[in-house]
Amino acid sequence: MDGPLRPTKRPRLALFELASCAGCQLQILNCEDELVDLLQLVEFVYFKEAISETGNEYDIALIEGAVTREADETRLRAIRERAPLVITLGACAHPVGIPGLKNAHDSEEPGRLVYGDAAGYFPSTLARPVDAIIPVDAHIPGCPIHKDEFLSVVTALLVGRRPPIPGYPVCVECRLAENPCAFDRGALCLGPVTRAGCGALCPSYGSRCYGCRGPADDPNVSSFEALLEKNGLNAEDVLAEYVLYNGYRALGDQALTMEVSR
Amino acid sequence: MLDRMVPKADLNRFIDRLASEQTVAAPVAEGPSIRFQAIRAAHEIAEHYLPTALPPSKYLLPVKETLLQFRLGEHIEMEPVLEAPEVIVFGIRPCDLHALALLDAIFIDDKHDGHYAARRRRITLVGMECLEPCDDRCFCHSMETLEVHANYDLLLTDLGDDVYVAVGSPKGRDLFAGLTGAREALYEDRTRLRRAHEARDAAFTPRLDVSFDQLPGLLAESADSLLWDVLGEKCLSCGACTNVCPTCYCFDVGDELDLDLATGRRYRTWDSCQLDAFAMVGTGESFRKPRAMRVKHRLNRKGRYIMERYGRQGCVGCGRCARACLVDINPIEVFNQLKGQPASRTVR
Repeated sequence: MDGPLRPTKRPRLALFELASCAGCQLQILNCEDELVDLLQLVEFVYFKEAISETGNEYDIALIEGAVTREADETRLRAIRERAPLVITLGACAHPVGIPGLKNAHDSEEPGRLVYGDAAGYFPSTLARPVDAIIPVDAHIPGCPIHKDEFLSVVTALLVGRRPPIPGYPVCVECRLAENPCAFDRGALCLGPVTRAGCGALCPSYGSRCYGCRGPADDPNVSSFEALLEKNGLNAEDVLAEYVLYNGYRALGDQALTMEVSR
Repeated sequence: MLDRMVPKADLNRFIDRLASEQTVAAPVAEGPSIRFQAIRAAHEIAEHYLPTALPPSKYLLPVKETLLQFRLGEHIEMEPVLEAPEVIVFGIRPCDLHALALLDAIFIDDKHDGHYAARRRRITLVGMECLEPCDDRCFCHSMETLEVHANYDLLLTDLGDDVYVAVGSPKGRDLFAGLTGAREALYEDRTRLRRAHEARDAAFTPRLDVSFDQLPGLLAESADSLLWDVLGEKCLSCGACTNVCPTCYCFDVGDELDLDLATGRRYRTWDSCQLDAFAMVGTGESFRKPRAMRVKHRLNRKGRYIMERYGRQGCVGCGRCARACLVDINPIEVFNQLKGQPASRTVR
């Protein structure tokens, strides 16, 4: 623990939760073997699933979850003012994940389904990613995040390196894993346009990619959609494919193409 | 070195014994996918197989390989990591043997890469001749990689109940010395082998409209072809073609730092010229940003640059990239279209 790159003062981390399942927070708690080492490097001052203390001074804000209420926007702006670095955790915070499913419905309908007559007490907006409200410095993608990726991002930030998140599509890792291609067995897969870094986890277990890590840096969307259509999908089916995790970008402007993130 | 003839049953018993004593890798079918992996017995080996998902080069250039370990401090301490397990790779097709010969030329003769060379010394290559074409994507016959005369320790030819074994090295001879039931190949055996080769040569038809040694010239003339733009619009830049290619060897080097921020590892991983970040420099510019340029670069590497530099086929015609490509970019069609469009730079 005497490396020259070790910061003299532990950066303070605060982890805030918006609309989500808290699964990404739990992934951090899942770093069981590494937590002791991690806490030598950083200090958590706000982390609801883990500690009862709360602090309002922090160096890095981690945001989990999607923006679904006006109050979330106010909260995010306040966080951004305090935090030199803002990093999102998981698919809900970016590109919008499961909370974005409601964007495909009439704006009143989800509230009515969940709260019935009491829906009026729980006003909610379109589900949006965090960077639709405030500038974000980095995204740790995935549903949920992978603990090793979280640790490598924290390590990179501490030594002043770019977070090592791949920009290429899932197919790269899927081929390296020697998986049979989902398209070859008649399934379709968002692997060709989705950001890698998961090690092609779902296809490696016989499933296919649902796009939880959001679009790759440089997806060829038009060729990919032509491929889906060649495999029997119409424009509506293609849109439905994107909605599970990429609903905000797919539906936000009512366009049929996934907007590239940069 | 004298060739041998062995009944298949004896060969299988021999493989069973070898696999129980040391690491034997062979093509194994798992659902629709065929991979080189460690086996415990001969019956696990796929009988008829298309080229494997990843080429056997993964045993010489692992997908991810640690090069050294380091400890940061006042003085940086570094220790090379050389992992070179003994492994017998069984059932390598002639196309892949040609590809491995190219990798040897690059990583041993040209660059002398210590990690590659260490692994190469401890690997035994047992080839398996092809007597029938894989499918309509393979074009080894056109690339003249169907026949192989070097760069194997043993080369097997399936002659029905018997297997003809060409011995290619002292290592192969020594390995085979332990095989009971084998005998020296006689005149009649060589005749059987020749007949099998004649039948093979009749079964394979040329698929390229040019001979492989005309490809460098054809590609040089086609630098401005509009076909590259057409392919660039289709290409998904997913890297499937380069990952499955037996002659692709480009890698990236990175560092992993442990949570103590003092110890870590330098590793290398397979990279791909088809990916956006491949030709990106520190300031963020990419020197090969348009997809069309990336596709053109790959096919020039396969058909031209490697041939010009190393005098060997940069593409061995295994067809893996064409099978892997979701948008049907097939080197046979690309080369034939370029051949058929000499004035392509003016064709719209």
